[in-house]
Amino acid sequence: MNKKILLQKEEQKLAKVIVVTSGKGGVGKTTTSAAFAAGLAVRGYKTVVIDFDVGLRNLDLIMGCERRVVYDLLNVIHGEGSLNQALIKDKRVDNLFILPASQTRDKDALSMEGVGKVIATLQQNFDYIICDSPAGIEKGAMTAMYFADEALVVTNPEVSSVRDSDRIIGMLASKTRRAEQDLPPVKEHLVITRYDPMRVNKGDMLSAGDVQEILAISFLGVVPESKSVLAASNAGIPVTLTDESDAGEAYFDMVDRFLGQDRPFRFMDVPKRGIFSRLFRTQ
Amino acid sequence: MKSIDTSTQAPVFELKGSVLTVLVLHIRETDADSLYPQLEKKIGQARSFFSSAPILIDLSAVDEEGQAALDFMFLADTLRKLGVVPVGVRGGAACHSERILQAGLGLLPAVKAEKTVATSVETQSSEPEPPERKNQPESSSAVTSQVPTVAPTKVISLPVRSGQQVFAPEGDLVILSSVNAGAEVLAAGNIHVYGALRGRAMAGINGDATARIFSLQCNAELVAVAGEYVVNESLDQSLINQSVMISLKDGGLDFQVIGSFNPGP
Repeated sequence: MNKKILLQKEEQKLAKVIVVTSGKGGVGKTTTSAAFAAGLAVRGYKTVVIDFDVGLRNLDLIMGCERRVVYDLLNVIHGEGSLNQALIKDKRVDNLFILPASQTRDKDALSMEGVGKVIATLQQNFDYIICDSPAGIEKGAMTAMYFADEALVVTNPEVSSVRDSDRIIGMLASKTRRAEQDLPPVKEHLVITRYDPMRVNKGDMLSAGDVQEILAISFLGVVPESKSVLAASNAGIPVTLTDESDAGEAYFDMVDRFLGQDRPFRFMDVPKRGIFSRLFRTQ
Repeated sequence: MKSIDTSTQAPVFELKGSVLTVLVLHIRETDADSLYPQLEKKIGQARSFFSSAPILIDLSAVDEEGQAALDFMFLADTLRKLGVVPVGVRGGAACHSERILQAGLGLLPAVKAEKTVATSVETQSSEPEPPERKNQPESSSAVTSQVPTVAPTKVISLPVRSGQQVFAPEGDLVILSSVNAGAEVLAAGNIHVYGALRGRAMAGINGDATARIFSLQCNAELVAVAGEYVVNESLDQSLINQSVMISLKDGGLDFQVIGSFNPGP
């Protein structure tokens, strides 16, 4: 018993808080939050993913736990339920937990202090905390990013998404706890979603290089445009927990890169098709 | 007014200094028959651009006679009717302060005596030039206390992100990275962008017409020198993404390609 307590004290490292943000809506923040969190859990890290989109919650749907929500983040903040009552354990992966947002209240009910307390408590018990930010630059998004140590900036290879991501990166550098308290800045990682190398070659779509040039932050990887994302969403499975999904593989590559391993950048070029597949026009 | 016990009450406001950019109306002649119709024409042409814009009236180029003849109340009213918001007057002689204040306008110190490119021919007909330039610094007390010193250059090494604004109220501004679309950089002096200029750059905002804008890759949304501006649409195709120097010449902006830039792999 004593040995266990000693071990626990040694291992008590605070969880890293990662915000998944973008500025623009609909680029894949919730998909990425779910996939990344599930990926980290599969790799053995105790992870919790929090939905900050009060009033328009989606994370519970994407994670497949919408029928088990009793208490949510706002209930915890207002003391109406405990954190343990609100946290939903994922049925498929050990180590994976979800903290849903409220659907009936609006974002003004979020308080920075309240969120700070929740995150501080979670930091004691987890390895990673993923904050799924809502779109925009209003209270919900600002609260989601405030306590972040690192950020995944999700961007579509498209001009308006790039500009909004640029705006958000500016805010990560100035409106976060780390910026206000003069701590080392939030580490930003660029995640390009819905990438289609054929359209990039045609000139319809911005290339990963173009996006990197404008945003000038550390590149984590691309996620290819994939039909498996919609299917997984509807089935309530994070895309990294589905079988044979290119998007899932891309997310796992990013998780591994995030954890410090070297992974070649896949899905950035048009796949070479052999003569048979071209003859028979197979996908 | 009831006395307020400030020791226990939480402060309900804060007074902070702020730096703002404002449109300046440099008046050359105050003859009512030419001034007001011209104002109505110019502002009326672009009402939405000027709509509710705060505007500063600069009288540094107007001689004593002209300033005495100016009806500040009428000018302020006319400007308000045209949809702009006159906030104050600078460069006015001290004897007119009373009238300016009565017209509901603020008094601002004159800009340091600088020779402007567009020196008007009309006002300086009878007076010889050297005494006039000597008079200008004396008419405003704020200027005499300023010894000409080199203003420090502001240097920024990180990209200026969309929605951010960098302002160098005195001197030059150097950005060692890019200025992204939706960002603004402003300087009293020159602006140097050692990267891509995709946002707005406004040099010489206090009226320095010798200010220039340099960028390694020019594709700005808007560039302005001492108030003269050009939007991206009006930029010549040959200038886009080249290294360009922008200066004020003959009342308009002059663009010169000063090299080409390859960002590299």
